[in-house]
Amino acid sequence: MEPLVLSGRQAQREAFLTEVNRLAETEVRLCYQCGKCSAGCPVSPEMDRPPHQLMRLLQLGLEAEALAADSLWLCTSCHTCSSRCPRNVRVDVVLEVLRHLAAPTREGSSKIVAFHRSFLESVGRRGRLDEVDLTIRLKRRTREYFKDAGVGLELFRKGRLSLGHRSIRGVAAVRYLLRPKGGD
Amino acid sequence: MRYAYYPGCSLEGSARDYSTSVAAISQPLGLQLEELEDWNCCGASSAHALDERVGISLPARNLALAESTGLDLVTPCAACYNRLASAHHRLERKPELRGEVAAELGLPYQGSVRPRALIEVVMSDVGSERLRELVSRPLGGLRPAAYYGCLLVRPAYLGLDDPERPRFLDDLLTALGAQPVEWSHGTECCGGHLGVSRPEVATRLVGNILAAAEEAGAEALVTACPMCQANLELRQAEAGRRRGRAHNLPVYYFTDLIGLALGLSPETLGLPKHLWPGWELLKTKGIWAGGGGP
Repeated sequence: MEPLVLSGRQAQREAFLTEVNRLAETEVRLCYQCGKCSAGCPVSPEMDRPPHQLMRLLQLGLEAEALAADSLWLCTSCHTCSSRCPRNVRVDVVLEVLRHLAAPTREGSSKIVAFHRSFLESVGRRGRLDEVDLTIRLKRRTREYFKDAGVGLELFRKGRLSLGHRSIRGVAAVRYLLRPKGGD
Repeated sequence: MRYAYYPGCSLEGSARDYSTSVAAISQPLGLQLEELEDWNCCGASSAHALDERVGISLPARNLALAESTGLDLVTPCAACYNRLASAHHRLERKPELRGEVAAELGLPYQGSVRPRALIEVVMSDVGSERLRELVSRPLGGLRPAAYYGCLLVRPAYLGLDDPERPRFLDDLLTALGAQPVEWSHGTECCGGHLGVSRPEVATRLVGNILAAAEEAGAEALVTACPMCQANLELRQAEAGRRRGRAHNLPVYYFTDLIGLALGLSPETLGLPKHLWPGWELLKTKGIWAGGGGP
């Protein structure tokens, strides 16, 4: 990380922490960096910023660094972090809030965001997920056409691939819920 | 006992075997599961990962649709349970959101429907005493590892039992005559959606879970979540390759074991669709007589 001058833009940085606290209905300043969240997090080995480091970034009001973290997307929402926090900080909800703030600008910059977007696109087609359709959309986005072909074949052989179901009657209602919310 | 039934999208596809299994045991257990008319995807991980409102409104539509039935909404999928229960909980705590969500849905929303996980319905409404009575082929000598996963026990305010040491699946297996093992990874995450979006990460997590089960002497895993079952099966071969030794651990749904203990055949329960049906294991334990199988 580049050296930062923390004495600058204090008000702005505190405003960001206050906003995250409000959205997550928690108090990030309670975190005393014990590390239990990161110790319990299943994916902290793969994370650039494990949960306790994200909490520290927030305490310092480092908005850009927090929102750019890839770890937000590696999070599986297993809720182990918040279940172990000795100060009852809602770490899981904080990461969720950060995802919501970061999502609009993460256009295809992460395989995981690509997955989520493909998933919701597929749901918008017929109101329920079509796993084959999801796979096609995901592969188009990531261009990893042959990845997991073996797994797909196994599922096909076992008759466990959904193929060609009809749309639900309420598909228009579902599409309305999934509409892009640009200027909301 | 009547319930509105929410299968969830995976039960129409990759978890079709789970759907078969649930259907097979519902009648003997006295559960009348009436599929919710026109249900939609609960949003799984993706909706709430990207947008707060979509993460609530997708599952809320199902809760709203279920209101006219006057029944509890039961789902066999742990993730769907978590999303339905999260939406229900949030709208209960924030009544000011209810009107907005109802307007988005174009449906009235009273919050009167209770979302429930199928395994909780079995343990609460059927109960272990009744299960014991119904068992005609006790799973004696079978040593499964009860794999709870995350979303049935966390977050604690939605969970069915203690998040660190839950017992309900172990109790169910004991009622069926099996001897569930004590082990370390009962509530460790399988990777969830990473099984599709970042499979190498899921492979590592699955490898840890399977190795821990083996270390405790488990002969199979038992789960109540189609995502967990998929990850534990689909990443098992690669996990075995990484460590240089195959795992060969069957991953059953809890409904599979209920069905076997009730005397149903593996075929009726959809077992041939598992990647590791465990025919040898079932034969050795006297749970399946052989012939017919794969």
